[in-house]
Amino acid sequence: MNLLFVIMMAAGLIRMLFFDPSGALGAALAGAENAVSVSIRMLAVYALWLGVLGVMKKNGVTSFVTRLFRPLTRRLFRGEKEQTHALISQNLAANFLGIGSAATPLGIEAIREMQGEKAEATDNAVLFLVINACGVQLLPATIIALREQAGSASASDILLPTVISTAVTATIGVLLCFLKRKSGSKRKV
Amino acid sequence: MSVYLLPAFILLNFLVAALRRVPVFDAFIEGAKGAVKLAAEIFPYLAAVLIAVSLFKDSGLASLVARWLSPLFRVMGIPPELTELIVVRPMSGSGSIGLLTEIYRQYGADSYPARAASVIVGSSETVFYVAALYGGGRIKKYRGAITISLIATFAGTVISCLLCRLF
Repeated sequence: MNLLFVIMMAAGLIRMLFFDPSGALGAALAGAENAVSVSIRMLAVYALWLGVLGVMKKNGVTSFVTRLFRPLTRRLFRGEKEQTHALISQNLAANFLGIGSAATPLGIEAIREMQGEKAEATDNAVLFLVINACGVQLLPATIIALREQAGSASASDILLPTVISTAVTATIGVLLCFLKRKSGSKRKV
Repeated sequence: MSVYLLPAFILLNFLVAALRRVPVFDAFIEGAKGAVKLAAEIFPYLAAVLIAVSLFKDSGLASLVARWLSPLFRVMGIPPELTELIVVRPMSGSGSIGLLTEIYRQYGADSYPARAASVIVGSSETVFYVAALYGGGRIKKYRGAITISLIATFAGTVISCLLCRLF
């Protein structure tokens, strides 16, 4: 992340200095303002969904979802605590349903449980991040709505290819994670 | 369908809670308490990523990189109309939605580029944003998580373009 940050900042600034020096600071500030508005929106989203999740914890829905996903999470995330499995299950469930906003606070908390005080991502945290960054979802509702607005005759015909493509992406991500783990443990020996 | 899904889901939760005599208001507050702290802790990570992305895009570098990559992408079956979208997709969610609607406008919502673009955007995530958000506050070294996500996403992109030719 450090290297990537330096490259993107430096490359962007250098090009700005040559072609549009007066716009450089504005572009940086626009990014920061975007972060402010995203954070405020996220605060609202967190308040709603963390509240609902608080209710779910008490009414038994949390433990139901955890049991539903247990066979999957047990295999993928070995050695995690029961509490972490609950968070992972709920995050995956929210992702499948396309409730990204509910998935986020759950995902953040799951990573915190996996990491503890470690600064380097654990194998499980890497896997979990990859799954979330590969966009596992079953219903691309926003895109279908956008296409409808743009006058498409059959806006939802992208549904099947999207689902297949997501599944392939996530599978490749998971496979790469396990491949990397294997090569990593070999190197140590 | 998804319009009904979420409100119904929330309603169901409250009903089950009430039936089981859970103190619903207290449980809600207990959960929502964490919201401010969470948003505040994530903020600096989001700010750093979004500033870098904004500089990268606004300086014209994103479209420059897209132009460089275009011939390479064409070999892999990705139409040149989509290269900029593919470069921007992992960096900016709103940016890629903007490019997507532009593609709809320019080529028509039922054209091949429009359908491929829809599938690409629908089947992927804003990788850098997810990494910054989820890792925020805890992960200093990502140990390949971002690279792996980008590779998998790109493989998904190639497959999306292929699938849209078939379907």
